[in-house]
Amino acid sequence: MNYFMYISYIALLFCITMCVLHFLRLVKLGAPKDLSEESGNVPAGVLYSNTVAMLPNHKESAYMHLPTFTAGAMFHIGTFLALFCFVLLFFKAVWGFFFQHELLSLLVALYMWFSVCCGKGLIIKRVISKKLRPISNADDYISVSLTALFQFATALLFTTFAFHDFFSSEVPGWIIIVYFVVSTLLFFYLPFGKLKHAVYYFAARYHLGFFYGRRGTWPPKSKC
Amino acid sequence: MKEPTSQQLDNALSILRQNKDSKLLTHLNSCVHCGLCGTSCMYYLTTDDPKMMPAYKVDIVASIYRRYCTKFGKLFPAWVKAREINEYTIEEMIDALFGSCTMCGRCVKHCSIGVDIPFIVRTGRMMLAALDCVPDSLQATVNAAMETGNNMAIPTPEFVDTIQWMEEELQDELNDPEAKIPLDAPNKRLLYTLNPREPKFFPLSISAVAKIFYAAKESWTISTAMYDITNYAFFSGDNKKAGIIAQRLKDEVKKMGCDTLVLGECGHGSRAVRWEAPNWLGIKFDFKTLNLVELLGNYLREGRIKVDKSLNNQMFTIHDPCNISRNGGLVNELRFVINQCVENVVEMNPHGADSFCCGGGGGQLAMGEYNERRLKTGKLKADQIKATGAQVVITPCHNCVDQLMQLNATYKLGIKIKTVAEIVADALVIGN
Ligand code: SF4
Ligand code: SF4
Repeated sequence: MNYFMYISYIALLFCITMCVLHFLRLVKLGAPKDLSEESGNVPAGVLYSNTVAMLPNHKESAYMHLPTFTAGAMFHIGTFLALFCFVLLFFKAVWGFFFQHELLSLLVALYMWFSVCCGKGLIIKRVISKKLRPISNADDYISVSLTALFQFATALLFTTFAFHDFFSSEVPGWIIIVYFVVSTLLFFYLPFGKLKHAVYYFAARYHLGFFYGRRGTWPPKSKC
Repeated sequence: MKEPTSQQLDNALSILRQNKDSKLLTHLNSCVHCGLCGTSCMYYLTTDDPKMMPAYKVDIVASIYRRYCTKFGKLFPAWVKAREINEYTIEEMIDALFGSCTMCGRCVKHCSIGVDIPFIVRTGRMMLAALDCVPDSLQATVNAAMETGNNMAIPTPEFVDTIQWMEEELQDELNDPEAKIPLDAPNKRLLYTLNPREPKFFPLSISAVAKIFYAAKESWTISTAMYDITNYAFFSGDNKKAGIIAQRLKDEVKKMGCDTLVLGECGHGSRAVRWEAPNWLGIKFDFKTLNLVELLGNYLREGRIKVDKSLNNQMFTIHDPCNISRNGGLVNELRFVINQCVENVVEMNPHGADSFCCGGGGGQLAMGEYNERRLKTGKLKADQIKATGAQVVITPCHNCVDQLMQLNATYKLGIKIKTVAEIVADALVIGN
């Protein structure tokens, strides 16, 4: 068991290092060196891009596609929650520090099951949608499937934690092995496929805010 | 279609490898293929063809990037659908990037991530320019500007004749023989530019501007050598030629000794000069650039012109040119000017920064091979106009005017199309 666990921690370290490298590359390349005369305000544009412009009522991708948008948002929350749980387990393994609460574990498990369903829904939509086929590739399926599997493994583990002590002998060993194997695969894969949008997303919002902020489109001025 | 030479291939790929800042790398790696941008693009909305989705246009360029610029794509091309540049890919690129996108940017603000789709489309167009695969019709427009100084290849005597004719009309209308359209007059405050469609097809819009300048007692001139504001190399993706055209205009401002370059009623031309040219040329302009809408707004605020909105008493609606409103930040200024000059305005839905392109942008009007598709995508705009019940559509872009006139004829809208200068000129109160 330890063996699987330690490999997954190495994978996490690798993943973080690679993401930091992606990020540093972007930082090194820097902001656009735009020589045109600014007529707006870049910081205000970037702030708007990362706040109001992201609200569901400001994006057609959200308000015109509410079921998909909601499933995607829930699935992302599930991923962050699963990552948070993974880090908690790391604390438990390394320092023995953990706060165990049966009801909390059950709630985490329940949300994870729900989130897995959202992920499954997104995969099914990609498989059956004629519209998505031309823009999809194997990476799209693998990335979402791996993330959904990671959430599935977390759901499984936390369901058992709701009834047994962490890593007690009553927790089936195979569940723990599956959890760490899936985590390892996800962390090794993340920096290469589309999951690296975890880094690029923020850069894209920055550039969007830079563009519209500089030209005075964002934030929108009050009506004349 | 010929196979590209290795030199052409290198040139095209060097565009993807350029690293002057983090923008290109960001947008090539950001799309998550969610497909939620489709319903923000008029091409997809009017055809229902998945290949018209913004994400598809982005992916064509990004897939080449993955193939040649990422280790994963080089090792496992099938895994990430990484594409080679070959005849088939080039043909698809031409259709998707030239024939199916006006670079209007509407999809950008609605993308779930924030991918700058037209930026990637233009990057793809730059690659096609490097591969010598710009559609002939668009290239001919660029060549005309390079060879003659204006994209319609209007000979200078013909241009001068038209201006003189308009000057006579103006003098008659104002009953003042001193009313002028000054050509090549040095050391004036403003150098005014226009779209060559104006002297060719819409000369009255030149006399409308001249009438406003007369009322404002403006010091201005037009250069016979370089009056063309358009820059179709912006659309063809040829930065070198775009830079040459922009440099000529910049040199002309200096030569004429003017303080301010006024960007006439042309969306893409205004954008090319105002926002792109300094970057093509690698310099900050040491003169001011003002879009005509901004200049008119200043006149109205400063009281340099007086208007009476009751002179424009029909029902009006506004068409926002993408490069002036969404991509130029003038959504409110446009409305400020129009609201001062007309009594009744009914907005389209959506409008402003969310406005749909008329369908004629991105060089579409210059590319005859896509005419049928252009008019089909324009149906969205035609339906929007119809829904307002307006009798007149106002737009500060001659390219949009052209497309709107064709939509008017195709979809039998029964509307008039006017530029902002025409509306302001109609509302002017001169004298007393
Ligand atoms: S909405 Fe944005 S991220 Fe989603 S497919 Fe379209 S371009 Fe890509
Ligand atoms: S820029 Fe405009 S035409 Fe091009 S894909 Fe986006 S919405 Fe469609």
